[in-house]
Amino acid sequence: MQPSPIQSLEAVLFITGEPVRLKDLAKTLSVDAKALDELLHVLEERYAQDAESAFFLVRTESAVRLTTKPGLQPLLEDLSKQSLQSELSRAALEVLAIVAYRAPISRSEIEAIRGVNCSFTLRNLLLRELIERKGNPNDLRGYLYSPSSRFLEHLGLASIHELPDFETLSRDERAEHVIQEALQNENTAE
Amino acid sequence: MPNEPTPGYRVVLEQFEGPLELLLNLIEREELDITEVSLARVADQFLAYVAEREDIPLSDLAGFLSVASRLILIKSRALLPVLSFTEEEEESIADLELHLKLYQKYRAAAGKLQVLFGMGRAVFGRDSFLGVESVFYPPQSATGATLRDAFASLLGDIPIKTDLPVEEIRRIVTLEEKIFHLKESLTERATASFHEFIGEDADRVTVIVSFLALLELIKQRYISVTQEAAFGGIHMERLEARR
Repeated sequence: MQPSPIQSLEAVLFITGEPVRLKDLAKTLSVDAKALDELLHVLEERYAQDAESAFFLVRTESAVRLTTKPGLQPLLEDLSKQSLQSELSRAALEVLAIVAYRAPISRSEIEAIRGVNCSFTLRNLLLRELIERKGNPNDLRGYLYSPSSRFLEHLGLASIHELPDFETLSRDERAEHVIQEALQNENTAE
Repeated sequence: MPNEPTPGYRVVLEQFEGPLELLLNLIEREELDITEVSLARVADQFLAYVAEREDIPLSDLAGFLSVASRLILIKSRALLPVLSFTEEEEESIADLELHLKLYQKYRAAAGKLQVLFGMGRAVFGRDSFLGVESVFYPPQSATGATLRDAFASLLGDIPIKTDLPVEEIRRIVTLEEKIFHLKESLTERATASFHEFIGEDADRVTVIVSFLALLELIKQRYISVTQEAAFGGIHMERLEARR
């Protein structure tokens, strides 16, 4: 029997456990990015429709992970050794919010919004795996920060778009203005 | 707030209140909206705080001074409604309002995140290959060259620690430096113009620091100044007899 595409997708996600890069997933299943996206939607929908299913998909920009559904935390917390405790400082929450709503974003852009140095806080969030970074194609000296899969898993969100007020906060022309202004000042000062 | 010197620089950074945070705290404490009027109301408190805090890191001082200078503009207009500002000044006031409102939005978003964190809706993935025994199975492509490249890119990841802060500090002219320069230029000549002293292309911080230096020298009775008209050129004269 030839496995169906959905069946293959589910099998790969199940066996991998960890976040799977979309690129690798498409290659394994021999489909293109668009077809993969459709398959993921179908699976996502199926889990959502079935109230008794325990599964859920968490998607970042570049990866997807099969997880348990939100609401099972009390049952599973003791089993999984993940500690979800330890409060985040106010500064950490602010930086996390800016990264979450405006990803991918550079350190200088985050600092433009907060008006204060954020490098220590960013490092802290990186260590806790709540954010991740990759090289900045526009500036080789810096990085671009995005929320991690773990961040979404902590909050029980399927994707970053489920954050409260995501549409308004991620597209704010005032933010563009402030960031542009600050970056200009920085460039002229150097 | 720590009174004794904190051993770790990092701890200070983490707890440090930036200029926008401070300003927003002051406004929200008074339960005001962000407007020019409310900015004028909290201006004194902001300036008092900056004057009291001696542990503001040098790298952040410029930010505080820039906000302080705009608050002084706003305050002076509140006191003297006839004052008219240049386009640039109007713009910098509007920018402060805009920036503060933006910061307020993301701070509110941070509060919502905190609530989400506390809701206990976390999901769990499988820890894959848990308990799988490790076998030495080096990838075919691992050669000396790839290892060297990997190590080189790792080295590239390590931030160059000291250079950046040093650069930042250099950029800011210290008050002492300016006082010294000002004294120096007045040793050569008995009189000078403040405008010439700061030069054509001085940035905002340099102008503010230079002006503070000027005030300090007046206080020390080293110079006297005259200004023909409001916002006119400031003429400085060295006082001979006194020290």
